[in-house]
Amino acid sequence: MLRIPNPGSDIDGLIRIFYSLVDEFETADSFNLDAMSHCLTKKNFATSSGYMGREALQRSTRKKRSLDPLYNQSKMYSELFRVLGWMQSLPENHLQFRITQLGLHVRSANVQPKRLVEVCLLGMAFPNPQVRVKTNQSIRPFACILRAMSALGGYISRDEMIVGPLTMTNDRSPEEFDKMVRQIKSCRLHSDRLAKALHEVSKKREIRENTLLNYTRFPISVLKWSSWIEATRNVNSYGRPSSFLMLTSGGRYAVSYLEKLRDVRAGDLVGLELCARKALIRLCFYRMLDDAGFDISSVQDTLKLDYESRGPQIENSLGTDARNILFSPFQELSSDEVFAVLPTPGLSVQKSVLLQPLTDHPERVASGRKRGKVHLPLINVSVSQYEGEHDNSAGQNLRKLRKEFNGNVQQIVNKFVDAHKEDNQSQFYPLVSQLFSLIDFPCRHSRAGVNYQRWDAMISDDKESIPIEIKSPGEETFLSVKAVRQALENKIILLSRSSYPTTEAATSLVVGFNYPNDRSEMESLIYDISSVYGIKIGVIDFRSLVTMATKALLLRLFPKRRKLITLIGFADVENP
Amino acid sequence: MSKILKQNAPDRQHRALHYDRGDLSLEWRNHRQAPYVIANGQNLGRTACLRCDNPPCLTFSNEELDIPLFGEFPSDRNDRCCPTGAIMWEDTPTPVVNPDLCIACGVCVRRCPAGAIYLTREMVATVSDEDTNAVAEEAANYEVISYSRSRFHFSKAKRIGSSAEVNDELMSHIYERISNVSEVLSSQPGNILVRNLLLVLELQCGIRRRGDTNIRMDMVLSSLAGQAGTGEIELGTAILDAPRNILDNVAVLISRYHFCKEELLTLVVTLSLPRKRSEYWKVLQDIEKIVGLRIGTISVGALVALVYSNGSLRDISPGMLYYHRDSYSIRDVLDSMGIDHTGISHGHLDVFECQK
Repeated sequence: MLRIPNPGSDIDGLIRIFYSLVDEFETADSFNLDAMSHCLTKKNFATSSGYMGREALQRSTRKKRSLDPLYNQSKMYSELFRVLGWMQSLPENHLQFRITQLGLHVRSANVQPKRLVEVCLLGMAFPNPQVRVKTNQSIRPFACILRAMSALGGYISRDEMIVGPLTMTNDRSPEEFDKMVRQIKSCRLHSDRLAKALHEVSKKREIRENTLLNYTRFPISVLKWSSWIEATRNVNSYGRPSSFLMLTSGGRYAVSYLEKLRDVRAGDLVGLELCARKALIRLCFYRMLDDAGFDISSVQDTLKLDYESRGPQIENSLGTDARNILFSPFQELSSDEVFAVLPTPGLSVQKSVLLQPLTDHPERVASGRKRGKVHLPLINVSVSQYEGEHDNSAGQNLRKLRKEFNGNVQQIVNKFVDAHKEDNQSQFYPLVSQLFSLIDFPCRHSRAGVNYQRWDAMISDDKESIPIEIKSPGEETFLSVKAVRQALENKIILLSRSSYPTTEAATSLVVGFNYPNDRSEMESLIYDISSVYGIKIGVIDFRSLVTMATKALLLRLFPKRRKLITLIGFADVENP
Repeated sequence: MSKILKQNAPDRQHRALHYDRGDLSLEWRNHRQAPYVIANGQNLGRTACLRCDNPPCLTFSNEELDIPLFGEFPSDRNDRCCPTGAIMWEDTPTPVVNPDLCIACGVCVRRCPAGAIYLTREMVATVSDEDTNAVAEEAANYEVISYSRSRFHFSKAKRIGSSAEVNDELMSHIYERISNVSEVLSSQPGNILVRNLLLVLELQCGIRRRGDTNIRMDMVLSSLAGQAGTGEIELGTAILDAPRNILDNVAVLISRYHFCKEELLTLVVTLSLPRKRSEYWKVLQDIEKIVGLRIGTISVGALVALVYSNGSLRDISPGMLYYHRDSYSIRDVLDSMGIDHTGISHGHLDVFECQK
């Protein structure tokens, strides 16, 4: 199935990003992805890890570029803008670019900016020499979707879009098009046929169904933005009201516009002689501008000459009047060929912007800030203060596992963690409480529906109670900043309402199944909170908690009390 | 063939004032029609659409969307004044409003420099489009001054009275329209609505770009007096998230960008104020008690009332809109601004205060 580059669904935002690139690079003979990242950062389009501006760019930069979020974002923008014909790669270097004449016109369209964008959307075609997408599909995606909708009674669903127009091999084949329409209409008679067809596409293309659904997000956003479609739920196909996309009057107008034009692709021009190709490039390009409301009177003489001198050749080769062709040169031909006919004015080698990536973000060590996890040492305790708390179901399960694994702590921990990887709140919250009790921090989880108990659990103490914010694996597999915010609020409420005795020095805990893959954002927030409010937030993942509980039960090793009570940041428990 | 061409621009004939008078005011006497142009006590006649270049009723300028104190904030630069796209100008002599999309928020009414947009009996924004004794086409037979001079005079004009009758009926209509035009409440259009209301109330505001998951704060604020701030927009049911999100925003602004806590504006914008028994108010009190932050709260309805009443938030200060369990109503603040709020009954839609 066709994958259109998708850097986001905010089409107006994408266009504004392009405008910024034009303003920065319109006279640059070449610019690269790092230059784009710098430009986007400068114009406040780039953020990373909770930061903005240059800090965002620094934090994003990685030696391995595939892990550099801003670099990848620039790459996606460059793909989209190349597919739209607004930028092109240099013939000699695929990762260096220039703005095209079409792109400059998009920028200059200040009366009805949308119209030229819509023309470019209809002109989008694959395969495309500008982006090296491996595909056996020859398709003009937006034109194909609109035509398919028209043939299907004016409406289509997301899944039908996947199974139908976006999976076509050759959208210009009347036989294949009719077959696709028949297939969709047949699916509409039986609700399970579409699901089956979707599954087959997924299997054949070796792409997961969820991924296929994601591929439709951008086309649907674009079609809505263009006011060619609108969402509806009132169409009674599949035996029940379902979500569909309906053609609007604007969409129907776009279909009638397409029907008046002969769809020509780059491969059709093979037999056309060079001068005729050049004439065709000009005729098609200026027809696009004319359709988008541009005043082309200043080039009419040239176009007239092109039509009179080369029109018959073009008609002979392509079987249609040269003025009625759907073909977008910047979106289908190689950079050097189009540039030779329609160069971007004012380019200067001196204005080239080829930047290197910033050096990796340096370690930041400011007062009070630490990096990395916080070591929680375990110490031997011969007599536990809270022996009675050890006789809970978590303790019993750990004892059973001790027998099963012969006391091997690592295996016990692995097994226990694995057994709870899909727990929901009602299972996980009491479990966490019990595990804390096992390590000599008596803990009770809050009862559901008790609004004033905002925390999920509380380690109660005569002086330093600790509220706990828990995220079960059913809620989120990896912890996020949301839990940090909630832990902060828990502590403030506890200090304010004094439901349990506590001090400002005592931490507020977050417990979740996994630490986030990238801890930096959570870590930064924890230290921001500490420096501004003087409140500590400590984070413990489930594996660490189970490790501590296991070692406490089996080896009488308990975490150092003070270290846990004043924990700030991510806990690092000694490895089993 | 490398010349960059221009799009054809429609031929639009400006309107202008008849009189070169600098001491203008716009006076609303009948809320279902355009206001009168008054000059030194003399009634010149009703106003009309000037057919502006870069019409302010349609778009904000780049400068208006800049937030000086937050140069690096990745704000959404969507320049549309109307959050639903109801007002458009293509082939008609003046902008027109699609009644199916208009939610009567008042932004375009407030933006029109000539005061030529008003609410009809059906509470749809409408552009006054006829030559009047005060304002006519530049090419008319009677003399008019230039369009640009007219714009200048109007920019200095006082606005007297409310541009719409702010009462329960208007507020109920607006809230019903907001829920009917469901796109408004979905993420970005809802944020755009709030941003635009704050902008016309002279509080500079930038909202996070749609889809940007790296920045957590919904909006940054910058008053004309140079006060920086941050805000959260919660038009749905997750109002309890807002106070802790503000705490996060403030911690980031102070720790990373060195703003001063005591001078930061904080504001939660909600559709209707949470009920009195809601934990929301208790949490605001807890936050004030422990970290000394007084988080302001205001409803969309209150913002709209301010817009129609020609009110302003230019002098907003930290804590000004802070109210909590013991003091739920915004009416004191409206009194201090000289805004007549008596048309909205107590607790109506929880716009000015909570019902229970």
